[in-house]
Amino acid sequence: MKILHTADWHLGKIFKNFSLIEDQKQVLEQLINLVSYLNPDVVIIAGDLYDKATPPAQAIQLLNDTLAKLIIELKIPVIAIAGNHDQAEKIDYCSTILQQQGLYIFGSLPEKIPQIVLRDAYGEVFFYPFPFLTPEEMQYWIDTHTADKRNIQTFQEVFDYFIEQVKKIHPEGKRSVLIAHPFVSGGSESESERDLVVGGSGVVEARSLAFFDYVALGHLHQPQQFLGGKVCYAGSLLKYSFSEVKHTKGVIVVEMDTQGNLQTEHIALKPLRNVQLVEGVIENDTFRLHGEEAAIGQNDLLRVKLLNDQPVANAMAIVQRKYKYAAALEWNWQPPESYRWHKAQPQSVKKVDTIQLFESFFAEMQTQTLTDQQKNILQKLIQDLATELP
Amino acid sequence: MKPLKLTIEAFGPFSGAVEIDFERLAQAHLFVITGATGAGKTSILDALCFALYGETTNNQNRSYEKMLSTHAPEGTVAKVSLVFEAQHRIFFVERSFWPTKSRQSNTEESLEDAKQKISTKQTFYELDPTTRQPSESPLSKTKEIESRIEQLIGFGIDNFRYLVVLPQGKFQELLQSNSDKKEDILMEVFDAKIYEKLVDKLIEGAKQREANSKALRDEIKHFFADHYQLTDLPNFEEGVTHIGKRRTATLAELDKLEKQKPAIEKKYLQADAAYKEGIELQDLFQQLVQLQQAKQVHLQQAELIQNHQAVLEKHRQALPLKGSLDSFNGLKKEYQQRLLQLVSPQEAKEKGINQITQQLLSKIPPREAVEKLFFEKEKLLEIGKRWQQLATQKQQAAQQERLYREAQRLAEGLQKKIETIAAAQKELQMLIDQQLAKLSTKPQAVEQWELLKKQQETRQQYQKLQHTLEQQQGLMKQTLQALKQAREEEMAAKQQVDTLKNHWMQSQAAVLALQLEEGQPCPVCGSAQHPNPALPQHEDLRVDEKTLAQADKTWQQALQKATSLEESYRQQEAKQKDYAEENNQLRQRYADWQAIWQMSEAEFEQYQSPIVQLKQSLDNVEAHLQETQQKSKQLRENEQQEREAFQAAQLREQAQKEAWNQLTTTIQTLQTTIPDTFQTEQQVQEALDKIQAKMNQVAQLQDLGQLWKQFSKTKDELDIKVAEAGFVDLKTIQESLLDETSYQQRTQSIEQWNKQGVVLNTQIQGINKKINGRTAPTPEGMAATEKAAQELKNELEELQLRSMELQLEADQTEKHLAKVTQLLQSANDALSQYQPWETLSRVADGHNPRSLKFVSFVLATLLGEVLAFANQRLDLLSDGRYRLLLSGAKEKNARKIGLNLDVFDAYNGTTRSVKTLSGGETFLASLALALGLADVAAAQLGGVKLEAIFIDEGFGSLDEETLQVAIKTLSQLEIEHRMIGIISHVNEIKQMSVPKIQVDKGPQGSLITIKNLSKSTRL
Repeated sequence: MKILHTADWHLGKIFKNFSLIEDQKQVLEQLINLVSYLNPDVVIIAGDLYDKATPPAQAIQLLNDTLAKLIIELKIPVIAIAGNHDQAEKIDYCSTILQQQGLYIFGSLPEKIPQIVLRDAYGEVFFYPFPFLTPEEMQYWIDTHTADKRNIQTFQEVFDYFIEQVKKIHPEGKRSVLIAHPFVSGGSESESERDLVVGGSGVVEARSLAFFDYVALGHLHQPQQFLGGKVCYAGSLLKYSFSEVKHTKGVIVVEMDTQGNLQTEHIALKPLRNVQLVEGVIENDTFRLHGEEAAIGQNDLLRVKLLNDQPVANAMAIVQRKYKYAAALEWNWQPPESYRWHKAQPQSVKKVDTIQLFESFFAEMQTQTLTDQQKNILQKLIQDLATELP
Repeated sequence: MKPLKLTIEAFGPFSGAVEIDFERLAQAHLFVITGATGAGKTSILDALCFALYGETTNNQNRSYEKMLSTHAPEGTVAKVSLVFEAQHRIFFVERSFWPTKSRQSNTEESLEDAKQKISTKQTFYELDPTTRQPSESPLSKTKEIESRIEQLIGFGIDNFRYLVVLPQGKFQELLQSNSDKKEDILMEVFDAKIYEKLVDKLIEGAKQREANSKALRDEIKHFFADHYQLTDLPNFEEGVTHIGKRRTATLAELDKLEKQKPAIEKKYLQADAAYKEGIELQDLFQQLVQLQQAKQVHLQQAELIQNHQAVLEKHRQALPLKGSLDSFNGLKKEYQQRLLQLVSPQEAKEKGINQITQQLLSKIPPREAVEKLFFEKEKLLEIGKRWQQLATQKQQAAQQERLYREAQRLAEGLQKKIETIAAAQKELQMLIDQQLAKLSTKPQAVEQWELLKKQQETRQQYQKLQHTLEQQQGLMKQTLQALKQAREEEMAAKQQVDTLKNHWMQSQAAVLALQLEEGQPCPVCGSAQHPNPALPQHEDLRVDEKTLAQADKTWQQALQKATSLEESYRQQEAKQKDYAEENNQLRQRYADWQAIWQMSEAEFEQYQSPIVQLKQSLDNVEAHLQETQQKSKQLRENEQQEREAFQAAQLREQAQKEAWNQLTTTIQTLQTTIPDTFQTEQQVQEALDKIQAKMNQVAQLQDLGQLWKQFSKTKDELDIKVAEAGFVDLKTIQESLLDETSYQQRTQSIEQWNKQGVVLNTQIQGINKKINGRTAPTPEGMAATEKAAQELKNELEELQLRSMELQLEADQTEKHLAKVTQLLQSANDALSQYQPWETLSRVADGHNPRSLKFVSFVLATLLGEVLAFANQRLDLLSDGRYRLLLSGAKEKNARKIGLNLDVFDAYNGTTRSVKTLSGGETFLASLALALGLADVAAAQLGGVKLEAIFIDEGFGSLDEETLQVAIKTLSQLEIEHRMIGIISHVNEIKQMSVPKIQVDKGPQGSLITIKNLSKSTRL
């Protein structure tokens, strides 16, 4: 069975006030060409189809066109789940009707544990799509659809429960694939992922997913693997933040043989334009880049680090004259002479010693140091005050 | 301050009681209060504020009186209570208010003007952290509660509105406030009053020390004036010199007087000595007279002493006999006691010891009688033993009989068993014989069975073949039919093609015909005449090449079909032949079984059933035979076992019987040895007891005899000794012996008298020696000596007095010198102490090149620290673009530093006032500042802990991306340190996985639901 595994499309994302819809269109075209060339048995999209709960119209249109090409023209079944950026109900729209055509799309968990059976030359492969669910939602599902008594608090418990239910309906000896959207512990994060739980990470252990022959995951934007390649994040289609500058973006193609052994390959997709971190100085009203000019495309999204000693007036405007899509500017700021009170970094926060304060005050005002006698006087006074006040 | 549980009743839009348990919110660090406009989100903050301080977050527009819920029924009391944590302890505060019933006024007042009278009630107490029960008595006075809460939290309502709550529309107040206001806030938050106090103390201290120094100098001046009348000294050194001079003079005079003293002293001493001697002599003579009198008295006591000595002598004589006397008395007592055991005291008194003793001793029986008693006793003991033996034997015999009977029963049982087994065996043997007979017919049956099997096989084969043949026939028929059809179709198609071709040719011809002209050759045949040109076709019959081609194609297809069908048919035919051949072969080979093949299923079954049945029954019988043989073997084994057991049992029975018989005989023998007089054991015991009693009595009397002998002997010995000592009788001796005390007394008296005598004699001797032949002095002589001594003494005394005066004066001047020197030292010290204080206080108060007060310096430093922390966050929130700075502009009052804030824009490279930021940017900067302040406050122990912050709206001014960054930054940086509550109606925030307090408007007032972590709209 040949599987094309992709995830984290984030259609409609706005990157520092620039819309990425054109880039996404282009990279999805590449994806479709790749699918047409490879002719896999199934395409899996492991969540975060859209970037927000209320995506812009263009994004919806793009998703519609892409899925249509995959299902109708290329006649390849697609299994997709909602991620934490998507709104479950929107993704679920017309899902039962769409299943008839080979588009298996799950925004939320249906009444029965979803199980999709596809056949290849060796036999049947069972797919289990698990859309993103918070512990509360899992608890609600358990209370309304089963008679089990559980108390689900963490994401690990959510997954343990789902896998328990899958084991009940999965026929022995058959190959299985899980599609889900968790944060696996030990995985490396980027800036552009929204926390699954605000202020926490809600991790899931990789080895708790070992039951399946292959686990197709989405959520983390860097392509990475666990358990020797059995559990994979496909990574996002494009670089969605400056922390992803070093990533190679693309999709994963998996060949599964009759025993469930895998051969995975990451196939890179070339984006419309690059996202890069650059350095340079502004001289004579122009921005001069440090490094290879040729490596930076004119339309690339850039984060520019200015190396000038002094602040430059209208720095951003000057940079943008050369590179239209320079999105952020960084300048290593040191407190100027006149601002004697400012520290570039906060001190290790501790209670300030009054005598030290006075000493520095004295030194600045008189350019003299406190004599020992004077220090003792201060010390005694401070002690007196401490006993006087409650 | 961190809120734990807030309860609101009849306050704002909440009519009933609602409770917010902050501890139950998952994580309870970052949470959101959402709800429609006017649902009551800000009212929650108002309630929090009101509980602590009695005022809302915005006193101008929403004073607490106006918060009385309009939904609540009349007469309800508005109540807010809060459980909160401060300084690691837990407290409870509750405030309630209600409208006081006022008398109906005549004039109509509008709702807004009406100064509705409100009654309030409040209560406050600390809670125990584990039980959450009150741990102190509650306070109820407003002022008490106010000061307590302010002290615990660290600041009042005004700063609360800057630091803990960022109120709606007013979050920028701290950021944009002026220098004075910032100073106020910083002073309160960091408790900087201490620095002010420090400076005040410095100033005070300096003043004090200045006064001290001056006072000392004045003192020195007065000193010179008072003691030496020196008023206009140019300096203090001169005064010192003056004193020195005075001193020297005094010392000189003193010296002179000292020299005169020794001579006068000597004279005086001589006179004094003579007088003293006279006194002494008078005294000695008096003593002598006294001593002689004492001696007289002493000699009068001699007689008494002699008496004592005589008594002591007698005692000494009697002493050696004391021991024997005592032991005799002891023995006598013992003997009397013994007697009293045998007779009554009265008798003893009447008859006397001797008589009674003789009476008793006469009762002792002779020796033979005693011996007889002894033998009788022995015999009885023997009989007793036999009785016991008999009892034991009887017991054993009973037991043995039981054993014997048991063995008997066992043997009988075994015998029965053996008989049963023999019977069973016989039966089995019969059965085996039967079965063997049956099995003799087996070999025959097997033959028949084999044959039947073969016949079955062949029958099946034949049937299959027939079936195949039939099938093949059918198939061939079908194919033939199809072929016929195909042929017909082909022909039809062919016809069609021909027709069409014709038409086509006709039309072609017609087209050509159009071109024909008379005289021109025909393109086809060449003839110049065209008598009969083709006519154009009818519309329907016009055929084009395409149609023709199609028809041709159709015909080709039909032809193909027909040909292939023919082929199929031939193939099938061939197969049919093969099958028929096979069939024939089969028939030839097994000619004799053909009848069987022709049979129907039922007939065949009938044919085979008897054989099958026979085989089956034989098999059964074989199986049974084996079983039976097995059983038989087992039984045999069993029988053997039982026989063996039976033999053993019999032997045992024998043995037990013998033993039992033996015992019975032994018993009988024993019985004969017991005499008849003792039918029972008890009788023996009684006789024994009687004899024993008699024997005891005899022993007693014998004992007594012994003792009497001893006693008599002792008495006789003692009598001899007494006579030898020279005493009359025992009684006298008794009397002569003195007790210890009396002896000691007398001895002592004698000693003392002797001693006294010696002492007196010695003393008299001494006095005489001292007098040494001198005579007593006369009174007149004494008087003269006395007078002379006295005169000399007076003279000496005068001299001494004057000497002392001079000495005093010298001393005083010395002291003065010392004191003045000391005072001078102190004055210098005071001056040196004062100087550093002056420096410190002046500099701290702003008298320095920068004209900056210490307190201002501290505040600016603190604010700088706050900004450093704030900038950390602002850096993240604005993606490195903005930083906050202290404005450089100076204030009018030159001694303070301006605490206004500017912002540096990295994109522009410019610094400008914070007031120039956009709405969203202002919000970010205000947020960063508030959090930075909280950070620094937390670290300064003098400062308060800002553990909770509430932000009322403001997120709506941010675009999507910035909003995400803001929430992410807040959650990552803050969650460890403090609780952050956000009031927002922004959709994106509602969609996040964050605990929510949802406020919903209802017909009867607002309601609160707490939701944890769900994005789904269903939950």
